[in-house]
Amino acid sequence: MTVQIKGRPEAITIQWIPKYTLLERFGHWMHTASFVPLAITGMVLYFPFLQPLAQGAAGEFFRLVHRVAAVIFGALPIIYFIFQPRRLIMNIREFLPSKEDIGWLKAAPAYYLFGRHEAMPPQGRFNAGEKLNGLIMIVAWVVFGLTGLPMWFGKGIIPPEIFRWLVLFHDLAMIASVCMFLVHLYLAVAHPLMWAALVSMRFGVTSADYAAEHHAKWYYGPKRAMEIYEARKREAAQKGH
Amino acid sequence: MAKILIVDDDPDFVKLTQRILRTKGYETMVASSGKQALEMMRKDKPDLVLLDIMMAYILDGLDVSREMAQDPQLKDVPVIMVTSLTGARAQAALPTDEFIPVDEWIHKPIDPDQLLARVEAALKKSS
Repeated sequence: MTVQIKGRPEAITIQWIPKYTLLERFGHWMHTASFVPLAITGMVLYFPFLQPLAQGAAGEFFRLVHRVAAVIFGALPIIYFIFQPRRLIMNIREFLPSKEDIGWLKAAPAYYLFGRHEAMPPQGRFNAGEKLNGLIMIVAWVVFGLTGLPMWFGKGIIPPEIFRWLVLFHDLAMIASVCMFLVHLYLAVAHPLMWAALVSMRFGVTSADYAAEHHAKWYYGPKRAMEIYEARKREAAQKGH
Repeated sequence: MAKILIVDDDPDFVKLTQRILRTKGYETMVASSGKQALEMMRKDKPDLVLLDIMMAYILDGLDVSREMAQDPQLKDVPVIMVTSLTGARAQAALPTDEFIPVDEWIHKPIDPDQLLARVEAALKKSS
């Protein structure tokens, strides 16, 4: 999109759109830096074949790392809420499901595997995949807190049956979040169509062209985004796709 | 005194801008989205519009500017873009893109003196 200053030969073409604040990017990378050791040490404690590592001094070390990383992982969203509550509320609103999300999830395999974009319904600032990732991470954060804190401080106090339930839910949250993390990591780092995701998390901005293509509702507004989407679908149908 | 419509979804920025404009006695009106801005302008025409680009959606402010340019009632109202978006400046030689006309472009964070000077110049030009 280009803006013309009246009476001057000069034009300004918008290139970069701010997407994340500095605190959001710092929080994201700190969350990653705490999640990875949490997952690794958690797996040492979880998988039976790694049990020898969880014994003795090594076991103590893994438990210590797990707890230190857990404090960082747990504290970051609270810090975000304290310093940028308005942004947090805005982001939560944008994470809410929309009617286009199902269509996006249906069309996503053809897009990610074959690059076919025609059937992808327009998305807001976060697409359905990002929303799914965010939702799983938010639920996992809550479950980790609700189960991890009693497991840490309540051992020997909490009845064993309840403790087993806590471990089960903690493990389920771990499995779900690690699976989502791996998908997220692959798409952000390795997938050729997703280059801008990493750029926006490093520099806080996304390119105007990328926003127009991948986040059309956010870029053009819902009405114009739907018109563009319908026109693209008609064109694809005429071409026989 | 001139009536200025501030269109921005950031309440802190709006408060700051209102405070700056009031030092010179300007009357201010406020809208937090493009849609609201157009509704307000059609009811009570301002002398100048300070327009953020990215509000309800990225091009919200530019759509307002485009609609104003097409509206006989509003096309003579000067528009100053006040935005945090970055763009590449170049000669507008090749009409390959859709051009949105504005009177001035100011980057956030704003410098109060620069804002007042641009407002004054735009009002003078339009009168």
